[in-house]
Amino acid sequence: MFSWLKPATVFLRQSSFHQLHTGLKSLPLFKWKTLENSEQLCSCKAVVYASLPCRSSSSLSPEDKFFAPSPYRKKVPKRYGYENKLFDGGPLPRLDEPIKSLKPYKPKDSWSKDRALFGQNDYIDILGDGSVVPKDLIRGPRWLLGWRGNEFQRLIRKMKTVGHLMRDIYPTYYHNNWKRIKFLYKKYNIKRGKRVR
Amino acid sequence: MLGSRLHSIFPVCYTYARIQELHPLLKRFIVRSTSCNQDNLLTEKSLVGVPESSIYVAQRPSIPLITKREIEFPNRYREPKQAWLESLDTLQDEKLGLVDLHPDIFGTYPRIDILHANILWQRWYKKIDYAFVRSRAEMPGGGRKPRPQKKTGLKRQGSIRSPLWRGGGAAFGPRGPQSFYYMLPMSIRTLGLRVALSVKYAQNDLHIVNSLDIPSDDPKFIEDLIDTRFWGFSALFVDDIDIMPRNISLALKELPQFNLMPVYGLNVYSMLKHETLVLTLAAVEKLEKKLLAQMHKPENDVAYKKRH
Repeated sequence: MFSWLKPATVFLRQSSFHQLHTGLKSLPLFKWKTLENSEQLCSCKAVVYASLPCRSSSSLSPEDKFFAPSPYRKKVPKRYGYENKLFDGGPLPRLDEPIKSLKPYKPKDSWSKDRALFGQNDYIDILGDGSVVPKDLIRGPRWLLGWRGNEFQRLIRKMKTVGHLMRDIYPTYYHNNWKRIKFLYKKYNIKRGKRVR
Repeated sequence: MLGSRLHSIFPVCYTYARIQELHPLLKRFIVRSTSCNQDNLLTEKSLVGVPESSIYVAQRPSIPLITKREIEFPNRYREPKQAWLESLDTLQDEKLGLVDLHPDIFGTYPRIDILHANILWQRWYKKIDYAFVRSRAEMPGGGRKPRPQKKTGLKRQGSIRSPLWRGGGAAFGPRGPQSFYYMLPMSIRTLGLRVALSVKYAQNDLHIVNSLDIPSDDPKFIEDLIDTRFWGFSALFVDDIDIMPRNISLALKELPQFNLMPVYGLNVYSMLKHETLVLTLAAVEKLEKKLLAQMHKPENDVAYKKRH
């Protein structure tokens, strides 16, 4: 496990594992013993204070564990001790699900087909022969082409143009529209002073 | 009638001469082959790498080709503005003469407020907003009183679809498809066109060209032309009629910033969106005629409301 360490650089502290937990007061004068190979390291039940090679000390990897788990010490159920439930197996795994994040920013294309020629033919009644007017260029619902009104007026106009279709195909919309018309009539004509939009 | 007037100003076709040895200085004035007859259009290689022996030079009649132009409804207190007549035959500019422009159309006061009004109108009059949210009456459910009025200790509630509730209807939300249609008076719109043209002329962004015929349909040619002449990032080419020459149509198809337009499609928004405005002489004639007719018409704008 510590094969990358040179024997000369390893200093083994001969103290038991339990003594570490008692605190600094109990640190006795310890003898430093140099080891010649890594086998001697693993056999000692001790903490190794080894000089690590030049690496950044900010991140810990599984190799940087302070003690090697002994093969003789089996995991037996116990009522004492502290079980570290934090995941120390390394960086979190990349799952198959895509990482949720904001959509990548796409700047609008100012020179797309619509935007490049926006406004074309708006002055056709002046610069053309006069048969076409800008009102003819508007695309939208039939009851709104070349006309503007508040909500009440729009609903009445919608009923006039497509009411017969709504009654047959969309009866709920038809019913709700009439309800709204009655509501707005009372709001605009009976409750004076309310804002009309 | 317009065509005949033009023919009297400059001839239909140019003649060509083949030169074996070309003086180095004359290379700047090399003219690509052009002809008004579209069947005889010659496709040539680009200027770089062409051997001297195969260079063509167009022999035009003596320049300037146009010295004076008739102006309708002349302004007796102001002299006409003048602009060069340029060509699109070569990468470098070749000035074919001077064109007189009406001062009331190309030299009006720069009314920024008129431009603003026109642009707002262009953006809003066609707009239809489809946003719609249901009110509490249109939401499903919500007819029953959730809990008794008194004694529960909780807030009194009449319906689960009240605007106070989560999932309830909107009290003053957007209601249905809404239009923003209105018309600016015709006089303001003509003034907008005139101001836009004047602003373009005053800022040297207006170029008048004899025709939109170019020698090759390669987009690189027109890109190099525009780069050489510093016409900017975007340009609007305006012609008399809506049928455009073949080469320029194919070349500008791949370039979205350079657009072709007939005179009847011209508008303030496009003129300000594109950095440069390139008008053909025929387009200038038609434009002036239409705008002056509007300026000097006897009817007033009150009748517009009845007509539209």
